[in-house]
Parts: sequence; C-alpha cells; structure tokens
Amino acid sequence: MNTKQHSLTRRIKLRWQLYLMLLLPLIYIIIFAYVPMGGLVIAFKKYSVNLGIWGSPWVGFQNFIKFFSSYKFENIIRNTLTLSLYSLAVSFPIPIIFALMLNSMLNEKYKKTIQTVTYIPYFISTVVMVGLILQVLNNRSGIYGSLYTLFTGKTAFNILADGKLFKHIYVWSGVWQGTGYSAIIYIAALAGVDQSLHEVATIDGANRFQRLIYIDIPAILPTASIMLILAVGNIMNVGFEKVLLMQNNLNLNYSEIISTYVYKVGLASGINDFSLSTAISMFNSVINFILLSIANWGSKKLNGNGIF
Amino acid sequence: MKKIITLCLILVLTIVNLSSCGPKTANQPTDTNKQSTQTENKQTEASQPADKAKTDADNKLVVAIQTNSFVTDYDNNYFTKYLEEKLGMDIEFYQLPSAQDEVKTKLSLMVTSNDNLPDVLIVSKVLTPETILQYGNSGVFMDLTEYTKDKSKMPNYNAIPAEDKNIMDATQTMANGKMYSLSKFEPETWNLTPNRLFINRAWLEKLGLSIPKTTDELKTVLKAFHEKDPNGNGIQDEIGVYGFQSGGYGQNITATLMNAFEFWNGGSLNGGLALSEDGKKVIAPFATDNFKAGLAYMNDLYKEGLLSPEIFTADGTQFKATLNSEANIVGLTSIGSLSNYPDASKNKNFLEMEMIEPLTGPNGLSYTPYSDYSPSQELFVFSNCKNVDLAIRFADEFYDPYTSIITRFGEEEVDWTKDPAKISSMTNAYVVDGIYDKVTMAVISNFWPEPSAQTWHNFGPRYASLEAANTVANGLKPFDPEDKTQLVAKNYKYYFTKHPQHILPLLHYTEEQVEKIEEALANIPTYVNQSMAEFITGARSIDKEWDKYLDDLKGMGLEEWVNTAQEAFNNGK
Amino acid sequence: MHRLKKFDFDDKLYYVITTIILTVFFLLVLYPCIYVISASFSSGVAVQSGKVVLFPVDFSLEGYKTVFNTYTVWLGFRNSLFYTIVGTAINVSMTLVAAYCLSRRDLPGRNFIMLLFTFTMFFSGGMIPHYILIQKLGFLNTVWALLIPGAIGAYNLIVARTFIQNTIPNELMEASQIDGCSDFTYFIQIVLPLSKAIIAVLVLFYGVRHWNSYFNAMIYLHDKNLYPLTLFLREILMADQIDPSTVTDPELQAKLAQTAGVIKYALIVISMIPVLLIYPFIQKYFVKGVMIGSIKG
Repeated sequence: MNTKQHSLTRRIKLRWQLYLMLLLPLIYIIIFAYVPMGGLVIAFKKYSVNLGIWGSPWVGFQNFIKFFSSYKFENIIRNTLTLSLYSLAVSFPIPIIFALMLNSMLNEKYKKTIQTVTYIPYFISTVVMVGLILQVLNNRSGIYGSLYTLFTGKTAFNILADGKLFKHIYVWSGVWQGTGYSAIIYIAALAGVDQSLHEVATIDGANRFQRLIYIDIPAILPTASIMLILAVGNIMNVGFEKVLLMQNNLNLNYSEIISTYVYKVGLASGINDFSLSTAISMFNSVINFILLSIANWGSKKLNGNGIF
Repeated sequence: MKKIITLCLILVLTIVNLSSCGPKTANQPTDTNKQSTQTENKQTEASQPADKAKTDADNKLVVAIQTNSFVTDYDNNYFTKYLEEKLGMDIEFYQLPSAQDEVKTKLSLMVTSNDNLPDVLIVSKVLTPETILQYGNSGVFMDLTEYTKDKSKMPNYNAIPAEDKNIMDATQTMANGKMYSLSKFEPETWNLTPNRLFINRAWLEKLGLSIPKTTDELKTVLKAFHEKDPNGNGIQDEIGVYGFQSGGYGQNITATLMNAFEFWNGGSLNGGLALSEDGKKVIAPFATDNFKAGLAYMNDLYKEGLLSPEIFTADGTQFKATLNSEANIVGLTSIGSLSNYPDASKNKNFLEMEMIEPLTGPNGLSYTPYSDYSPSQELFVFSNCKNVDLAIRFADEFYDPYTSIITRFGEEEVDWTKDPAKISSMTNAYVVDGIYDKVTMAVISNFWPEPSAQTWHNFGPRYASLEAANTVANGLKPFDPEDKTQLVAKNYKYYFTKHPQHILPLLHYTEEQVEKIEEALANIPTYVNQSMAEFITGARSIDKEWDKYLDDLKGMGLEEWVNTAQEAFNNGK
Repeated sequence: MHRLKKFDFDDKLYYVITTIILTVFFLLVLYPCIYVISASFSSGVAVQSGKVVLFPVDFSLEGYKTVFNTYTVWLGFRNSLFYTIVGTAINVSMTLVAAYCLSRRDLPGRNFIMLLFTFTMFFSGGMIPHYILIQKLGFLNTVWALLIPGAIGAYNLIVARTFIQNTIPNELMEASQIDGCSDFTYFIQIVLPLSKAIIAVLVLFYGVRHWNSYFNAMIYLHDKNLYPLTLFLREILMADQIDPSTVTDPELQAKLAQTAGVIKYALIVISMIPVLLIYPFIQKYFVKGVMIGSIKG
C-alpha cells in the first residue's frame, strides 16, 4: 500500500512537464467552461432579468415538470429519437464506407476530385440546402416530378405531403450534404496506413477487397470507435434549423422535435424563457452524457478504445 | 485571484499566438494599428470645432439600431447628419442584428447587466407587448407616460391630431397602464387586406364564363378550368385553387376562402381570435360550425381535384415557380404582393389574372382576413440613459412633420418634392378614383428600393396620416390608369370594408396572463393550421373527427385562452 | 497461376463496383454545387421563381457586381480571414498540447482530466453566464470575444488524442526516453513532425468552424467594423425567411427579399472560396502520414 502510493507520487513527479503543459488548457476550460457552468442553476429557478442568475427565486423542478407535461411531450420525444437514431444508423457507417472505397481508388486525380467536390455541400447553408431539397422534390417542377412525368406521363405523387416520408428525406439529404466532410477524418486515418503491409499482403495473394477488410478497417477502427461514441453522445441533438425549415402542416406530426417545439412556444409568447430552455438542454445533456458513458464503457470492453 | 489568472491567461495566449505562427500574426498588429488610427481619425474629426469637444460628452446619445441591408452606412448618413445638426447632438450607433429572433436574443443578453447599455433602442416590430411589459416592469425600459403627456417636453407628439394620437396611445399603453415605447403611425390600406383573390380571366373568356361571385359559382368555374384544358397545351395540368398555407402575406388561400364562411384573420393577430357580432365577447372562429362548413367546401374541391395539395407543401420559391410556369397553370390564387409575379406589369402570366371581390358563401357572408391598423412600437429609452432630456428631444423630433417625411422619403428636392409647380400635374390611383382631391407630394428618386445612406430606411417613430400616405404621387413614372398593376384604389373598394364591424384589437396581456396561456398560444394556431391541412386533404375525415378536433382544442387550453383574452380585452377598453 | 488469375478478376470486379458507386455519389453531390454556381450567375428573378435547375438562366453578373461594390462585404471578408487565421492558430496549438499530454498512457490521472474536458462538451452554462463572463473580462465588442472562447473544442481534442495515440508508436517514446529525451522535447522533436496529418485535420475543422461561425459575433459585437462575413451573409439569407406578417410593411419585405435574392448566391460562392482553396493544401498532408508507417517498420 505504502509502496504503491509512493510509486504514484513518483510517477506524477516524473511527468511534471506534461502537467505543466496541461496547465494552460486546464485553466482555460475552468474559466471558460466551468465558471459559467454555474449558470445551470437557472434550470431550477425562475429567471428574471432584474434579479439576475443568483437573485432569481428557486422553483425546484418546476421547469422540468412544465416540459414533461407539455401537450406534445410524447410525440416530440418520439420524433426526436426516431430522427436521431435513424440518422446515426445511416450517417455513421456511410462516411466510413465512402472513405474506404475512395482510399482504394487507383486513379489519383479522380480520387482527389471526388474528395474535393463531396466536401463542398457541407458549406452550403441550411437555408439554401433546404430550399434546394424542396425544389428537387417538387412533384411538378422539380427534378423528381419532371422525371416522373417524362417516364409515366402523369403528375407525380407529392412526397412532401406524406409525413411518414419526412424522416427519410431528412436523413438521406443529410447523407447527401455531409458524407464528404464526415469522411475527412477517416481519409486522414487511412493515409497513415503502412503501405508495406499492403505490399506484403499482395504478394501473399490477397485481393483488394480482402486487404480492405484485413488492413484498412483495423487501421481506422480506433478512430471509428471514438467517432461512434461521440455520435452516441449526440443523440438528443437533431439539426434544429433544418427540421424547422422542412416542416409543413402535413408532416408536423412526424417533424416536431424538442428544439422546434420549444422555439415555437417562446415565439408565441414573445418571452425568452431562459429557465425553461436551460432545463430542457440540461435534460438533453444528461441523457447524452449517460449514453456516451455507456458507449464508452462498452467500447473499452470490446476493443480497448475509449475516451476516458 | 481570478483576475490574475485571467490576466496570465491572456498574456500567455498572446505569446502562444505570436510565437506559434510567425508570418500569420503579421496581420494582427497591423489590424490593431489600423483600428487605432481609425479611432484617432474619428476623434480628430469630431474635435475639429474646438468648442464642440465639451458638448460631445453632454450631447451624445448611443442609439442601438438593427442593421439593415438597405442602409449602407449609418454614420455617414443624410438623416443622421440632419438629426445631429438640427438637435446639436452626436449620435453613436450600437448595431443590433437584423433578424428578429436574433435581436431578441441579443437584447435579452444585453440587459443582464445594466451598466453598459446604450441610451435609446430603435427596433421594428421586434418586441411583443408582453416582452415590453416584462422589460418595463423589471426596470430595463424607462416609463415614458409622463413625457408623452407633457407638451413642453414632447411638443411634436402632442401636436398629432387627437383621433390618431389616441390610437398611438392605446398601442403604447401596456397592461399595467404605463407606456414604455413610442410608435410609428403610418396607416395605409394596401397591407391591411393582403388576401387578394386573382382569377385567370383569360381562361374565363376562352371558356365563355363570367367572374364567379359565390363559392358555388367558383366551383363550377374551377371544374371547367380543370376539365376543358383552357391553357390549350393538351395536358390536364391546370390547377384550380393554388396558394401556400405557410405564406405570411396573403398567400394562404385556405384563409381567403374560409372567410366566405366565417370571419377569421388567418391567425395573423391574437392567434386568430375574433369578436362576436355585438363586439363584446371574444370568440374562437376556428371552432365554429361555419368553419367546419368551410373546411367541407375545400375538402370537396380537393376531392374533385380542383384544389392543389401543394398548397400545404410549397415554400415561397416553389409558389412563385408554379405561378410563373411557362404555360399558366393557375386558375385562382390569393396573393398580397404583386412581386410574386416578377416584373408584373409585363409578366405574361400576371396579365392573364384579374383581381376579384371576396366570394360570398352559402350564408351570404363575404369577408376577407383583416386586422385593424396597429402602430408598431419602435423607440424605447433604457433606464440607465444619462441624458434623458436629450433622449426625449431626440425621440420627439421624429414626430416633427418635416422629419417624419425625411425618415421615410429622404432628402427634399432630391428624393421628394412638395413644390406645387411640380406636383400640380401629377396624380395617383386614389385621386383618379375620387377618394382624395389631389396629391400632396411626389417621390422623385429611386432611393427607397435600393441600398443607400440617405435614411435609416424608416426605422424609428413617425407620424403620417392616412391621407398623407395615400396622396403621394410617383414622380418618376406618370400614373397610367391602364396599368394592371395599379390596384390600390381597386383594392380599397373591393376589400377594405369586407370585415365585421367589430374587430379584436391587439391584446396586451400581463406577465401572469401570458404565463398561463403561453402553451395554448403556441399550440392552438399551429394545430388549427395543421388540422385544416389534414381535413382539406382528407387525411382526417371532417364528419368523423370534427368532435375530436374540438376536444383537442379544449385539451390544449382553448377555454382558458379565450377567457384570458376576454380579460385582456376588457382591460384594454 | 490459375489462382492468381481469379484474384485479378476479383480485383477488377471490386474496382468496377467501387468506381460506379463513387461516380454516382459524386454526380449526386456535384448537383448542389453546380446549382449554387449557376444560381449566382442567373438573374434574381429567375432564381426567385425557381427557374434555375442546372444551368444559369438569364445570365447575369448583377449579383457579383452588387457584392463587389459593397464595402461592408469586403470588410467582413477581411475580418473573417483575421478571425479564422488567428483563432485557428490559438485553437490548434492549445488542442495539440493538450492532446499530446492526454495521449500519454503513463500520465497518472489522464482519464480524469479527459473526463473534465469531455464534460464540457455536454454541459455549458448557457448564453447568459457566458455573456456576463465575456463582459467582465472586457472582451465585449473586441476581437478577443471571437478568438478566446472555445479555444479548445473537446470534440477535436478527443479526435486529436485518438489520432496521436494510435499513429505514433509507443516504442518510439520508449526509445527516446532511453536517449534521455524529456517529455517536452519529445513533443517538439518527435510528435509534432509526425502529426502533420492530424494538424491538417485540426486546421481544417477549427478553420471551418471559425469561418462559418456567426452566433458569437452576433451576440458579442456591436460595431459593424468588426463584423465577420457570416453576419452579412446571414442578413441576406434571412431576408427572405422573415415572415412578412410579422413586419410593419410586408409589401416592402417582399421587395427586400427580391433584392436579397439577387446577391444571395454570389455571396455564398464568394464566402466558399477560401474553404475550397485551403482543401488541396490540407489534402497534401494526409499523404505524409505514410512516414509514420516507415518509421514503425
């Protein structure tokens, strides 16, 4: 026991340079993240402008109860989870597959072109992108409608009017816009793969697909596990602006999510209810954090990769 | 201790920053240099008249105002210079974002500390009565009630004709009886009845039909449109009724048609509540049998293929795309702005359309969505303002008749003229129609629709009577009675009176009231629109689910909302 | 011999399939890019009424002319460049230092420190306390308000740490320690040169975030001379999103949206140029990562 403790202090002393280097980042997050975190208390208060954060009266869990008992609570939780889980299931693996395929391409020039072009849509702002999605999917004048009419001679079915299709449109348009950018981290990781491994494997008679399975995938596995953990810890956050812009009265039952709903309540009453929005984001964060911790634990058990 | 750490942090960061990227940081010192030279320049400029140095501190107001893509520069601005000279003061600007949500957010952060606030706030239709009351109660905004009553402090405001001033006073008075704002009063009739119906006259003529006056006649006409291929391209692509439900300026045709059955403002004010016929009781028009009949009518049109489901899925761009498609495919639509047809006076599709009067429903009702003119609350004084007298003088100046013209129309003889020699030969639609005798002024430049540094683009209070607004002539383009885009007078005749006698004014709730009903306020109007879409497109059956709809409304707190609205209405009378 | 041929066939099949899939995806993604460029060269009316599908309609340089003549846009462009370059430099140096330290498996308490950082990814005090902090530090309406907060993103820290941990072999550190290399010199002389790929990624991630960010500028700045480009862009983008029923003069709002529509796409294209120009440079460093393998071997 005594020797163990002794060795710990020794180990700490040995690494003093590392602690010194960590000092600045640590001070930094204490000031810019942990000090303001005190503001979270307003989730349990009724925030009022003139009384400030500390002077406002305590109300206990009233803000949380208000949120849980809101009219559409079940519906918006269900929609939020549907969109985020679907999104995770699709948008997590696709960039990996894309990066693996791209990495294996032989034509360097074509490869670079694809890489650059697929990265661009990420920078097109949501407003423009949603406008474009609605235009493409228009059943009369859009590309979808025009092609349908061209082949069948009839006016196409209005897919924007069917609320059940909302989640597909939301998720797959996200793939359309985000795959290139999300793949960057994997492309960078794949660039680090030892080329001699490939050479050896080729001599041993492995084909490209086998090399992808046995060399490339293990190489990005640590990165992928971390990205998965991070994605799981982000489940309660769904792109607010995009959903809001894509909503219409025929899909509202499927498209109203926590953030859009809260936004609308605030808009209607004209008052920024900071306490309520803090309570809701706290609720989201707690769930996200728990999920992340579970994913982290699981990943560590499975392949030894974890965040902490 | 914290301060020391912070200091160290800044120091270290600066060093890290300087050492880590040598060439890049070359930017930084030059940048700060530039800024300091800029401020130095400003200072020397300002202090050129030596005696002005002292008055600068006393006579300076910090004015927080929204950025506006139409104002290229607030500092070097004709209107700013005009005010500064006339009042012998200095204006410093504190820029706020232009989007409304963002202004609200920024404002709510700014007020968290009272010491660094500007003196005056000028925003356009950003703050709801509830927010104003909240800020007023918590001492962020100054109570202006006494000043508005004092002729010596606000001479121009008190010179406004009583009839109009009463409307302004009523708007500015919050639920607690105090005024925290000064408003802009400039009524005109065009914007009050945006749901203008346009029918395809070319098709009517081709098929030998007359303009429909009732909802039943409309159905017959639409059927002919749909079946007889009036655009003659051999494809059955004609849309009978078209609009877009989420449009905010007359494009929601479901509201336009509904007003042949029940008066409903479409949710544009007070969430769609209205008054009973005797003007005493607050009612919810969207929960009446007439409303149900209106839905049944539209559902019928939908089933016959005469009403397009795209009404519920289109956005602004898609709406315009359909209106302007190669061959006109729209039979009937409802729009507020002719800009939905770009370059309307030459637009082939628009020239086929004709504005018609509101339709008459089976019960003889013929209304259009309408809300009374309500001035917008534009100018606020922060409580920490050090020079209140100056702020009040500044605010009152906006109501000076001459200043009121400048704030909207720009510089005299450059942008507008009142010269009798020039305007005597001019006219406009109202004058031609005999609604007014003659025009009183003319616009002679095109500064308004283009970015410029002439004015603040009409931000801030102002007073202009209805007559003043309707007797402005366009000096750049002589009035042409044949021009099909000159619809203001026709709109006045067709639409302006098509509403019940008693209209519910904008309600001012107290903080407690709003807290009670905020969820109803958020949920019910959305639910009404959503249900309309579902009932009309048959996603829900009107016969079977109407009662459930009423129950749902009840569950969302309709009753409490209506009762609270009644309280607020009684309180405001 | 026979077997080898089969592999050749497999490889061919593999390459054909991947090329087809990637080409289809490439074309799909190319579409919005072409659309935005075409729209920027079309007349405002054509864009507003949905006439632009693939190629410019009523070819016009109106949008670019207006943008080039607007002084504030160039001011914004210059400010954005400054915030991006300086901000990214701060971000990347802070993050790398922290990531290196936390990648060391022999650092006692590293999981706890990592938890401290991760925690900030989820829980933040919200806008009000941050605003008060910035105000108390005197950063309000200064460039510091955009440079200092968010200097370390926990997400990027985690990515960087994972990268360093997995690409720089432990043996290398052991060997250097035997040579008497201190932790600090090891970082400077071995880790940094070997981390070019992740530095490139960090530069890209942070740079893009700075270039695209508008919220902090919106709430912390009130002097137009300090505004980044995104605030101007947002003003234009939001102009046709405003609900006309909530403004004083909806007819004017309709016209405003039209004017905004003319310059919207030109402004978007101009604001995307820097992120496009930087990408090829970043890409170059991705390949340098190969070096790590050779050292390991």
